[in-house]
Amino acid sequence: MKKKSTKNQSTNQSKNEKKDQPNQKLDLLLENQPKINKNFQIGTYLTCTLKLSELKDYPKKLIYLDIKCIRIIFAEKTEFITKFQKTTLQFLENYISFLQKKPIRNFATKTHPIRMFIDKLRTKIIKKHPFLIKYFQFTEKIDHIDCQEVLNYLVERCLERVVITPIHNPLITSFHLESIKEDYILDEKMKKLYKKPPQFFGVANKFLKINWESPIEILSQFRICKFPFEFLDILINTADRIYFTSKRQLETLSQLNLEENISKDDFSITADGFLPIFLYTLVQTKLSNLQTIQNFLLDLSDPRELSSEIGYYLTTYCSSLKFIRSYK
Amino acid sequence: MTFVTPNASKIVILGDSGVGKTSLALRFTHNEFHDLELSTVGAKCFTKSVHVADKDVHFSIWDTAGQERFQSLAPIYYRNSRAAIIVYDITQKKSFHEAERWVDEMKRHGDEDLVIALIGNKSDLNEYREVKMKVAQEYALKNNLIFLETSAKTGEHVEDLFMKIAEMLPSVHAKIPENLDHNFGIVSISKLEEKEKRKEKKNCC
Repeated sequence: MKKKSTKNQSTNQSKNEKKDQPNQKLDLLLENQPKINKNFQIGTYLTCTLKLSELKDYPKKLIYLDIKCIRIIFAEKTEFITKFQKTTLQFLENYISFLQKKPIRNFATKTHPIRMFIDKLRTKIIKKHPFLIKYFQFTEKIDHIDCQEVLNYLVERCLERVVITPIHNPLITSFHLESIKEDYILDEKMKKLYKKPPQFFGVANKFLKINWESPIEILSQFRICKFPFEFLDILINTADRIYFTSKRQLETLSQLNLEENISKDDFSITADGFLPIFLYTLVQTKLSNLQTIQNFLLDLSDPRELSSEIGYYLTTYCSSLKFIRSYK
Repeated sequence: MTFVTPNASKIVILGDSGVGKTSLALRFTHNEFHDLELSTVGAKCFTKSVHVADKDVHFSIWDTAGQERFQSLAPIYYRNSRAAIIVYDITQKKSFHEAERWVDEMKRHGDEDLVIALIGNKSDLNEYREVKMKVAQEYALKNNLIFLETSAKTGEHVEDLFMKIAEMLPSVHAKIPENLDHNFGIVSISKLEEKEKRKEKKNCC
Protein backbone atom coordinates (compact mmCIF):
# COMPACT_ATOMS: atom_id res chain seq x y z
CA MET A 1 0.00 0.00 0.00
CA LYS A 2 2.72 2.35 0.95
CA LYS A 3 4.52 1.73 -2.31
CA LYS A 4 1.35 2.49 -4.25
CA SER A 5 0.78 5.76 -2.42
CA THR A 6 4.33 6.90 -3.07
CA LYS A 7 3.89 6.01 -6.72
CA ASN A 8 0.69 8.02 -6.82
CA GLN A 9 2.43 10.91 -5.13
CA SER A 10 5.24 10.90 -7.64
CA THR A 11 2.82 10.80 -10.58
CA ASN A 12 0.83 13.64 -9.02
CA GLN A 13 4.03 15.58 -8.57
CA SER A 14 5.03 15.12 -12.16
CA LYS A 15 1.54 16.19 -13.23
CA ASN A 16 1.81 19.31 -11.10
CA GLU A 17 5.20 20.04 -12.52
CA LYS A 18 3.76 19.80 -16.01
CA LYS A 19 0.99 22.17 -15.02
CA ASP A 20 3.60 24.64 -13.92
CA GLN A 21 5.21 24.73 -17.36
CA PRO A 22 5.35 28.34 -18.61
CA ASN A 23 3.24 27.73 -21.73
CA GLN A 24 0.31 26.30 -19.82
CA LYS A 25 0.54 29.06 -17.26
CA LEU A 26 0.50 31.53 -20.12
CA ASP A 27 -2.77 30.08 -21.47
CA LEU A 28 -4.36 30.38 -18.06
CA LEU A 29 -3.28 33.97 -17.75
CA LEU A 30 -4.47 34.90 -21.21
CA GLU A 31 -7.99 33.94 -20.20
CA ASN A 32 -8.04 37.00 -17.96
CA GLN A 33 -9.07 39.75 -20.33
CA PRO A 34 -8.34 43.28 -19.14
CA LYS A 35 -11.51 44.58 -17.53
CA ILE A 36 -12.10 47.57 -15.39
CA ASN A 37 -14.25 47.24 -12.33
CA LYS A 38 -16.52 50.24 -12.84
CA ASN A 39 -18.55 49.64 -9.72
CA PHE A 40 -15.81 50.64 -7.37
CA GLN A 41 -16.44 53.49 -4.98
CA ILE A 42 -13.51 55.68 -4.04
CA GLY A 43 -14.94 56.03 -0.56
CA THR A 44 -14.79 52.28 0.03
CA TYR A 45 -11.07 52.18 -0.53
CA LEU A 46 -10.44 55.24 1.52
CA THR A 47 -12.38 54.00 4.50
CA CYS A 48 -10.30 50.83 4.30
CA THR A 49 -7.28 52.85 5.31
CA LEU A 50 -9.05 53.82 8.51
CA LYS A 51 -9.12 50.25 9.77
CA LEU A 52 -6.74 50.06 12.66
CA SER A 53 -6.17 46.35 12.10
CA GLU A 54 -4.46 47.18 8.82
CA LEU A 55 -2.31 49.78 10.43
CA LYS A 56 -0.99 47.64 13.27
CA ASP A 57 2.54 47.62 11.95
CA TYR A 58 2.78 51.39 11.64
CA PRO A 59 4.68 53.35 14.23
CA LYS A 60 2.14 54.54 16.83
CA LYS A 61 2.48 58.20 15.97
CA LEU A 62 1.88 57.47 12.34
CA ILE A 63 -1.39 55.62 12.96
CA TYR A 64 -2.70 58.76 14.54
CA LEU A 65 -1.42 60.92 11.72
CA ASP A 66 -2.76 58.60 9.07
CA ILE A 67 -6.30 58.73 10.37
CA LYS A 68 -6.22 62.48 10.85
CA CYS A 69 -4.75 63.06 7.42
CA ILE A 70 -7.33 60.99 5.61
CA ARG A 71 -10.17 62.58 7.52
CA ILE A 72 -8.96 66.01 6.55
CA ILE A 73 -8.27 65.30 2.92
CA PHE A 74 -11.25 63.20 2.04
CA ALA A 75 -13.92 62.67 4.64
CA GLU A 76 -14.58 66.36 5.22
CA LYS A 77 -14.42 67.34 1.57
CA THR A 78 -17.22 65.56 -0.20
CA GLU A 79 -17.00 67.89 -3.20
CA PHE A 80 -13.42 66.94 -3.66
CA ILE A 81 -14.24 63.23 -3.45
CA THR A 82 -16.80 63.55 -6.26
CA LYS A 83 -14.33 65.39 -8.50
CA PHE A 84 -11.56 63.06 -7.52
CA GLN A 85 -13.62 59.94 -8.28
CA LYS A 86 -14.70 61.32 -11.65
CA THR A 87 -11.14 62.14 -12.66
CA THR A 88 -9.83 58.78 -11.50
CA LEU A 89 -12.52 56.87 -13.35
CA GLN A 90 -11.88 58.87 -16.50
CA PHE A 91 -8.19 58.12 -16.29
CA LEU A 92 -8.78 54.42 -15.69
CA GLU A 93 -11.17 54.12 -18.63
CA ASN A 94 -8.67 55.86 -20.90
CA TYR A 95 -5.92 53.70 -19.61
CA ILE A 96 -7.76 50.43 -20.22
CA SER A 97 -8.73 51.45 -23.76
CA PHE A 98 -5.07 52.43 -24.31
CA LEU A 99 -4.03 48.91 -23.29
CA GLN A 100 -6.68 47.22 -25.41
CA LYS A 101 -5.96 49.09 -28.64
CA LYS A 102 -2.94 47.10 -29.69
CA PRO A 103 -0.09 45.18 -28.15
CA ILE A 104 2.45 47.63 -26.82
CA ARG A 105 5.98 46.48 -27.35
CA ASN A 106 7.60 48.42 -24.55
CA PHE A 107 6.23 47.19 -21.25
CA ALA A 108 7.40 50.28 -19.33
CA THR A 109 5.18 52.36 -21.64
CA LYS A 110 2.24 50.32 -20.41
CA THR A 111 2.67 51.09 -16.75
CA HIS A 112 4.19 54.54 -16.99
CA PRO A 113 0.83 56.38 -17.19
CA ILE A 114 -0.32 54.88 -13.87
CA ARG A 115 2.74 56.01 -12.02
CA MET A 116 2.57 59.42 -13.65
CA PHE A 117 -1.10 59.78 -12.76
CA ILE A 118 -0.46 58.95 -9.10
CA ASP A 119 2.52 61.33 -8.91
CA LYS A 120 0.61 64.22 -10.41
CA LEU A 121 -2.48 63.64 -8.35
CA ARG A 122 -0.46 63.43 -5.16
CA THR A 123 1.34 66.68 -5.88
CA LYS A 124 -1.94 68.31 -6.78
CA ILE A 125 -3.71 67.19 -3.60
CA ILE A 126 -0.89 68.46 -1.43
CA LYS A 127 -0.59 71.73 -3.34
CA LYS A 128 -4.31 72.37 -3.21
CA HIS A 129 -4.46 71.84 0.52
CA PRO A 130 -1.61 73.89 1.98
CA PHE A 131 -3.36 73.92 5.35
CA LEU A 132 -2.44 70.24 5.70
CA ILE A 133 1.21 71.07 6.03
CA LYS A 134 0.42 73.79 8.53
CA TYR A 135 -1.73 71.34 10.42
CA PHE A 136 1.16 68.93 10.76
CA GLN A 137 3.61 71.64 11.62
CA PHE A 138 1.61 73.16 14.41
CA THR A 139 -0.33 70.32 15.94
CA GLU A 140 2.07 67.43 15.60
CA LYS A 141 5.68 67.75 16.58
CA ILE A 142 7.55 64.71 15.44
CA ASP A 143 11.28 64.68 15.85
CA HIS A 144 13.41 64.71 12.70
CA ILE A 145 10.50 64.10 10.32
CA ASP A 146 9.75 66.41 7.46
CA CYS A 147 5.99 67.15 7.53
CA GLN A 148 5.86 67.48 3.76
CA GLU A 149 7.32 63.99 3.44
CA VAL A 150 4.89 62.48 5.95
CA LEU A 151 2.06 63.93 3.90
CA ASN A 152 3.54 62.62 0.65
CA TYR A 153 3.89 59.21 2.24
CA LEU A 154 0.29 59.09 3.44
CA VAL A 155 -1.31 60.46 0.29
CA GLU A 156 0.75 58.06 -1.83
CA ARG A 157 -0.73 55.13 0.12
CA CYS A 158 -4.27 56.36 -0.39
CA LEU A 159 -3.73 56.90 -4.11
CA GLU A 160 -2.13 53.53 -4.74
CA ARG A 161 -5.25 51.92 -3.25
CA VAL A 162 -7.60 54.13 -5.22
CA VAL A 163 -5.92 53.87 -8.61
CA ILE A 164 -4.59 50.31 -8.58
CA THR A 165 -7.54 48.49 -6.98
CA PRO A 166 -9.97 48.66 -9.93
CA ILE A 167 -7.34 47.55 -12.45
CA HIS A 168 -5.32 45.26 -10.23
CA ASN A 169 -6.25 42.00 -11.97
CA PRO A 170 -5.45 43.02 -15.57
CA LEU A 171 -2.38 44.85 -14.36
CA ILE A 172 -0.91 41.94 -12.44
CA THR A 173 -1.76 39.65 -15.37
CA SER A 174 0.28 41.88 -17.69
CA PHE A 175 3.21 41.74 -15.29
CA HIS A 176 2.89 37.94 -15.09
CA LEU A 177 2.89 37.62 -18.86
CA GLU A 178 5.89 39.87 -19.15
CA SER A 179 8.04 37.81 -16.77
CA ILE A 180 6.60 34.34 -17.01
CA LYS A 181 9.86 32.71 -18.09
CA GLU A 182 11.96 34.45 -15.47
CA ASP A 183 9.41 33.52 -12.80
CA TYR A 184 9.61 29.89 -13.85
CA ILE A 185 13.41 29.86 -13.71
CA LEU A 186 13.40 31.51 -10.29
CA ASP A 187 10.75 29.11 -8.97
CA GLU A 188 12.87 26.14 -10.03
CA LYS A 189 16.04 27.56 -8.49
CA MET A 190 14.23 28.51 -5.28
CA LYS A 191 13.13 24.86 -4.94
CA LYS A 192 16.73 23.70 -5.29
CA LEU A 193 18.11 26.31 -2.89
CA TYR A 194 15.45 25.66 -0.25
CA LYS A 195 17.36 22.70 1.17
CA LYS A 196 20.65 24.57 1.42
CA PRO A 197 21.87 25.52 4.91
CA PRO A 198 22.46 29.17 5.93
CA GLN A 199 26.23 28.68 5.47
CA PHE A 200 25.66 28.15 1.77
CA PHE A 201 24.41 31.74 1.45
CA GLY A 202 27.37 33.06 3.42
CA VAL A 203 25.61 33.60 6.76
CA ALA A 204 28.37 34.35 9.28
CA ASN A 205 29.19 31.75 11.95
CA LYS A 206 27.92 33.89 14.81
CA PHE A 207 24.40 33.87 13.29
CA LEU A 208 24.20 30.13 12.64
CA LYS A 209 22.43 29.26 15.89
CA ILE A 210 19.70 31.84 15.25
CA ASN A 211 16.20 30.76 14.34
CA TRP A 212 14.99 32.96 11.46
CA GLU A 213 11.40 31.73 11.51
CA SER A 214 9.97 35.09 12.45
CA PRO A 215 11.42 37.15 9.53
CA ILE A 216 10.57 34.25 7.17
CA GLU A 217 6.96 34.43 8.32
CA ILE A 218 6.84 38.19 7.74
CA LEU A 219 8.38 38.02 4.26
CA SER A 220 5.92 35.24 3.36
CA GLN A 221 3.16 37.85 3.63
CA PHE A 222 4.19 38.95 0.12
CA ARG A 223 1.56 36.40 -0.97
CA ILE A 224 -1.27 38.57 0.31
CA CYS A 225 0.10 41.97 -0.77
CA LYS A 226 -1.68 43.90 -3.44
CA PHE A 227 -0.24 47.42 -3.64
CA PRO A 228 3.39 48.50 -4.02
CA PHE A 229 3.43 50.18 -0.61
CA GLU A 230 2.26 46.94 1.02
CA PHE A 231 5.17 45.01 -0.48
CA LEU A 232 7.61 47.70 0.57
CA ASP A 233 6.23 47.71 4.12
CA ILE A 234 6.80 43.97 4.27
CA LEU A 235 10.40 44.40 3.11
CA ILE A 236 11.05 46.99 5.81
CA ASN A 237 9.34 44.85 8.46
CA THR A 238 11.39 41.81 7.42
CA ALA A 239 14.63 43.77 7.71
CA ASP A 240 13.48 45.10 11.07
CA ARG A 241 12.73 41.59 12.29
CA ILE A 242 16.09 40.25 11.08
CA TYR A 243 17.91 42.87 13.18
CA PHE A 244 15.62 42.33 16.14
CA THR A 245 15.76 38.52 16.03
CA SER A 246 19.53 38.42 15.75
CA LYS A 247 20.07 40.90 18.56
CA ARG A 248 17.57 39.24 20.91
CA GLN A 249 18.78 35.68 20.29
CA LEU A 250 22.48 36.54 20.43
CA GLU A 251 21.90 38.32 23.73
CA THR A 252 20.12 35.25 25.10
CA LEU A 253 22.85 32.90 23.84
CA SER A 254 25.49 35.14 25.35
CA GLN A 255 23.67 35.22 28.72
CA LEU A 256 23.43 31.45 28.72
CA ASN A 257 27.15 31.30 27.82
CA LEU A 258 26.31 29.13 24.83
CA GLU A 259 28.15 31.45 22.51
CA GLU A 260 31.42 32.25 24.26
CA ASN A 261 33.10 34.20 21.53
CA ILE A 262 30.40 36.83 21.10
CA SER A 263 31.07 40.29 22.45
CA LYS A 264 28.31 42.89 22.84
CA ASP A 265 29.57 44.70 19.76
CA ASP A 266 28.85 41.62 17.66
CA PHE A 267 25.09 41.75 18.24
CA SER A 268 24.76 44.14 15.34
CA ILE A 269 24.52 43.17 11.66
CA THR A 270 26.53 45.05 9.05
CA ALA A 271 25.73 45.01 5.32
CA ASP A 272 28.24 42.12 4.99
CA GLY A 273 26.06 40.12 7.35
CA PHE A 274 22.63 41.31 6.28
CA LEU A 275 22.54 40.27 2.61
CA PRO A 276 23.26 36.54 3.23
CA ILE A 277 20.61 36.43 5.99
CA PHE A 278 18.06 38.14 3.77
CA LEU A 279 18.87 35.70 0.95
CA TYR A 280 18.38 32.71 3.24
CA THR A 281 15.12 34.21 4.54
CA LEU A 282 13.81 34.79 1.02
CA VAL A 283 14.62 31.26 -0.13
CA GLN A 284 12.91 29.79 2.94
CA THR A 285 9.63 31.58 2.16
CA LYS A 286 9.05 29.37 -0.94
CA LEU A 287 7.52 32.44 -2.61
CA SER A 288 6.77 32.25 -6.32
CA ASN A 289 6.45 34.89 -9.06
CA LEU A 290 9.43 36.74 -7.64
CA GLN A 291 10.30 38.45 -10.94
CA THR A 292 6.71 39.66 -11.36
CA ILE A 293 6.88 41.22 -7.90
CA GLN A 294 10.20 42.89 -8.71
CA ASN A 295 8.91 44.40 -11.96
CA PHE A 296 5.65 45.45 -10.32
CA LEU A 297 7.55 47.26 -7.57
CA LEU A 298 10.15 48.88 -9.80
CA ASP A 299 7.51 50.19 -12.19
CA LEU A 300 4.81 51.26 -9.77
CA SER A 301 6.52 52.27 -6.52
CA ASP A 302 6.90 55.93 -5.70
CA PRO A 303 10.17 56.80 -7.52
CA ARG A 304 11.04 59.29 -4.78
CA GLU A 305 11.34 56.38 -2.36
CA LEU A 306 13.88 54.52 -4.45
CA SER A 307 16.87 56.47 -3.15
CA SER A 308 15.76 56.19 0.47
CA GLU A 309 15.76 53.37 3.00
CA ILE A 310 12.83 51.68 1.26
CA GLY A 311 14.82 51.78 -1.98
CA TYR A 312 17.75 50.18 -0.22
CA TYR A 313 15.72 47.17 0.85
CA LEU A 314 14.06 46.91 -2.55
CA THR A 315 17.57 46.88 -4.06
CA THR A 316 18.50 44.10 -1.62
CA TYR A 317 15.46 42.15 -2.86
CA CYS A 318 16.48 42.70 -6.52
CA SER A 319 20.07 41.67 -5.85
CA SER A 320 18.83 38.54 -4.07
CA LEU A 321 16.91 37.57 -7.20
CA LYS A 322 20.06 38.06 -9.25
CA PHE A 323 21.93 35.77 -6.87
CA ILE A 324 19.22 33.08 -7.08
CA ARG A 325 19.09 33.35 -10.87
CA SER A 326 22.85 32.83 -11.12
CA TYR A 327 22.77 29.62 -9.04
CA LYS A 328 23.86 26.61 -11.08
CA MET B 1 11.40 54.05 9.23
CA THR B 2 13.00 57.05 7.59
CA PHE B 3 11.22 59.31 5.14
CA VAL B 4 12.54 60.50 1.82
CA THR B 5 15.06 63.34 1.96
CA PRO B 6 14.37 65.52 -1.06
CA ASN B 7 17.33 65.84 -3.45
CA ALA B 8 19.49 63.50 -1.40
CA SER B 9 22.70 62.46 -3.13
CA LYS B 10 23.20 58.73 -3.09
CA ILE B 11 26.62 57.58 -1.94
CA VAL B 12 27.62 53.94 -2.12
CA ILE B 13 30.31 52.43 0.11
CA LEU B 14 32.30 49.61 -1.47
CA GLY B 15 35.21 47.51 -0.32
CA ASP B 16 36.33 44.15 0.95
CA SER B 17 34.50 42.45 3.81
CA GLY B 18 35.61 43.70 7.23
CA VAL B 19 37.41 46.89 6.16
CA GLY B 20 35.06 49.05 8.25
CA LYS B 21 32.45 50.28 5.73
CA THR B 22 29.56 50.26 8.21
CA SER B 23 31.71 51.75 10.98
CA LEU B 24 32.73 54.61 8.69
CA ALA B 25 29.11 55.39 7.85
CA LEU B 26 28.10 55.11 11.50
CA ARG B 27 30.89 57.43 12.63
CA PHE B 28 29.82 60.06 10.14
CA THR B 29 26.05 59.83 10.66
CA HIS B 30 25.84 59.02 14.39
CA ASN B 31 29.36 59.96 15.56
CA GLU B 32 29.66 56.51 17.09
CA PHE B 33 31.98 53.59 16.46
CA HIS B 34 30.10 50.55 17.73
CA ASP B 35 26.40 51.23 17.81
CA LEU B 36 24.69 48.69 20.00
CA GLU B 37 21.35 50.02 18.87
CA LEU B 38 21.98 48.84 15.32
CA SER B 39 18.96 46.58 15.66
CA THR B 40 16.77 49.46 14.55
CA VAL B 41 15.97 49.48 10.85
CA GLY B 42 18.01 51.97 8.89
CA ALA B 43 21.38 50.57 9.77
CA LYS B 44 22.30 49.83 6.16
CA CYS B 45 21.04 53.05 4.66
CA PHE B 46 22.20 56.13 6.51
CA THR B 47 21.18 59.73 5.97
CA LYS B 48 22.93 62.94 6.93
CA SER B 49 23.23 66.52 5.72
CA VAL B 50 26.28 68.77 5.62
CA HIS B 51 26.51 72.48 4.98
CA VAL B 52 28.94 73.39 2.19
CA ALA B 53 29.31 76.71 0.37
CA ASP B 54 26.03 78.08 1.78
CA LYS B 55 24.17 74.99 0.69
CA ASP B 56 22.73 72.01 2.53
CA VAL B 57 23.88 68.81 0.90
CA HIS B 58 21.86 65.74 1.84
CA PHE B 59 23.44 62.32 1.69
CA SER B 60 21.79 58.93 1.45
CA ILE B 61 24.62 56.51 2.22
CA TRP B 62 24.25 52.91 1.05
CA ASP B 63 26.33 50.23 2.69
CA THR B 64 27.11 47.10 0.64
CA ALA B 65 28.19 43.52 1.25
CA GLY B 66 31.90 43.15 0.48
CA GLN B 67 32.19 39.36 0.13
CA GLU B 68 33.60 38.12 -3.16
CA ARG B 69 30.50 36.02 -3.91
CA PHE B 70 28.33 39.15 -3.89
CA GLN B 71 30.55 41.28 -6.14
CA SER B 72 28.35 40.71 -9.16
CA LEU B 73 25.41 42.22 -7.26
CA ALA B 74 27.17 45.54 -6.63
CA PRO B 75 25.99 47.28 -9.86
CA ILE B 76 22.40 47.09 -8.57
CA TYR B 77 23.50 49.04 -5.49
CA TYR B 78 25.74 51.64 -7.15
CA ARG B 79 23.29 52.48 -9.94
CA ASN B 80 22.37 56.18 -9.87
CA SER B 81 24.87 57.02 -7.15
CA ARG B 82 26.59 60.40 -7.16
CA ALA B 83 29.66 59.26 -5.27
CA ALA B 84 31.44 56.03 -4.41
CA ILE B 85 33.58 55.59 -1.31
CA ILE B 86 35.98 52.73 -1.86
CA VAL B 87 37.41 51.54 1.42
CA TYR B 88 40.45 49.41 2.21
CA ASP B 89 42.06 48.42 5.48
CA ILE B 90 45.61 49.85 5.81
CA THR B 91 46.59 46.70 7.73
CA GLN B 92 45.56 44.37 4.89
CA LYS B 93 47.30 44.57 1.53
CA LYS B 94 44.69 42.27 -0.03
CA SER B 95 41.96 44.80 0.71
CA PHE B 96 43.95 47.48 -1.17
CA HIS B 97 44.15 45.30 -4.27
CA GLU B 98 40.41 44.76 -3.94
CA ALA B 99 39.95 48.54 -3.73
CA GLU B 100 41.95 48.94 -6.95
CA ARG B 101 39.55 46.51 -8.62
CA TRP B 102 36.59 48.54 -7.38
CA VAL B 103 38.14 51.74 -8.73
CA ASP B 104 38.51 50.12 -12.16
CA GLU B 105 34.91 48.92 -12.08
CA MET B 106 33.52 52.29 -11.05
CA LYS B 107 35.61 54.05 -13.72
CA ARG B 108 34.19 51.70 -16.33
CA HIS B 109 30.58 51.42 -15.21
CA GLY B 110 29.89 54.45 -13.01
CA ASP B 111 28.30 57.68 -14.25
CA GLU B 112 30.59 60.16 -15.98
CA ASP B 113 30.46 62.71 -13.15
CA LEU B 114 30.72 60.10 -10.39
CA VAL B 115 32.92 61.28 -7.52
CA ILE B 116 35.22 58.51 -6.34
CA ALA B 117 37.02 58.52 -2.99
CA LEU B 118 39.70 56.02 -2.00
CA ILE B 119 39.80 55.58 1.76
CA GLY B 120 42.44 53.81 3.82
CA ASN B 121 40.59 52.98 7.02
CA LYS B 122 41.90 51.89 10.45
CA SER B 123 44.61 54.57 10.53
CA ASP B 124 44.68 54.10 14.31
CA LEU B 125 46.38 50.73 13.72
CA ASN B 126 49.49 52.28 12.16
CA GLU B 127 51.86 49.78 13.78
CA TYR B 128 50.25 46.97 11.76
CA ARG B 129 50.29 48.88 8.48
CA GLU B 130 50.71 46.83 5.30
CA VAL B 131 49.74 49.49 2.74
CA LYS B 132 52.07 52.45 2.50
CA MET B 133 50.33 55.80 2.46
CA LYS B 134 52.56 57.04 -0.37
CA VAL B 135 51.60 54.11 -2.62
CA ALA B 136 47.88 54.70 -2.13
CA GLN B 137 48.29 58.46 -2.50
CA GLU B 138 50.12 58.09 -5.81
CA TYR B 139 47.51 55.65 -7.08
CA ALA B 140 44.72 58.08 -6.12
CA LEU B 141 46.50 61.00 -7.80
CA LYS B 142 47.02 58.99 -10.96
CA ASN B 143 43.34 58.05 -11.10
CA ASN B 144 41.97 61.44 -10.05
CA LEU B 145 40.45 60.21 -6.80
CA ILE B 146 39.85 61.85 -3.44
CA PHE B 147 42.26 60.20 -1.01
CA LEU B 148 42.25 60.13 2.76
CA GLU B 149 43.27 57.83 5.55
CA THR B 150 40.58 57.62 8.19
CA SER B 151 39.85 55.95 11.47
CA ALA B 152 36.23 55.11 12.12
CA LYS B 153 37.33 54.24 15.66
CA THR B 154 38.74 57.67 16.56
CA GLY B 155 36.79 59.65 13.96
CA GLU B 156 39.97 60.96 12.30
CA HIS B 157 39.24 62.56 8.88
CA VAL B 158 35.77 60.98 8.63
CA GLU B 159 33.96 64.34 8.58
CA ASP B 160 36.60 65.69 6.14
CA LEU B 161 35.87 62.84 3.75
CA PHE B 162 32.18 63.68 3.43
CA MET B 163 32.86 67.42 3.27
CA LYS B 164 35.27 66.81 0.38
CA ILE B 165 32.70 64.70 -1.40
CA ALA B 166 30.04 67.38 -0.90
CA GLU B 167 32.38 69.99 -2.39
CA MET B 168 33.03 67.83 -5.43
CA LEU B 169 29.41 66.97 -6.19
CA PRO B 170 27.83 68.75 -9.14
CA SER B 171 26.01 71.66 -7.50
CA VAL B 172 22.96 71.56 -9.73
CA HIS B 173 20.45 68.93 -8.65
CA ALA B 174 18.02 67.45 -11.10
CA LYS B 175 14.72 69.28 -10.85
CA ILE B 176 11.35 67.52 -10.82
CA PRO B 177 9.12 69.09 -13.51
CA GLU B 178 6.32 71.10 -11.96
CA ASN B 179 4.22 71.89 -15.03
CA LEU B 180 1.33 69.68 -14.05
CA ASP B 181 -1.58 69.41 -16.41
CA HIS B 182 -5.10 69.66 -15.05
CA ASN B 183 -6.47 66.40 -16.41
CA PHE B 184 -4.43 64.26 -14.05
CA GLY B 185 -2.26 62.57 -16.65
CA ILE B 186 -4.91 61.82 -19.27
CA VAL B 187 -2.96 63.88 -21.79
CA SER B 188 0.07 61.84 -20.98
CA ILE B 189 -1.52 58.67 -22.32
CA SER B 190 -2.13 60.29 -25.70
CA LYS B 191 1.48 61.50 -25.69
CA LEU B 192 2.64 57.97 -25.06
CA GLU B 193 0.43 56.72 -27.86
CA GLU B 194 2.05 59.25 -30.19
CA LYS B 195 5.48 58.01 -29.15
CA GLU B 196 4.45 54.42 -29.82
CA LYS B 197 3.15 55.41 -33.26
CA ARG B 198 6.39 57.18 -34.07
CA LYS B 199 8.36 54.11 -33.02
CA GLU B 200 6.22 51.86 -35.17
CA LYS B 201 6.66 54.16 -38.18
CA LYS B 202 10.41 54.05 -37.67
CA ASN B 203 10.33 50.27 -37.47
CA CYS B 204 8.27 50.09 -40.68
CA CYS B 205 10.86 52.10 -42.57
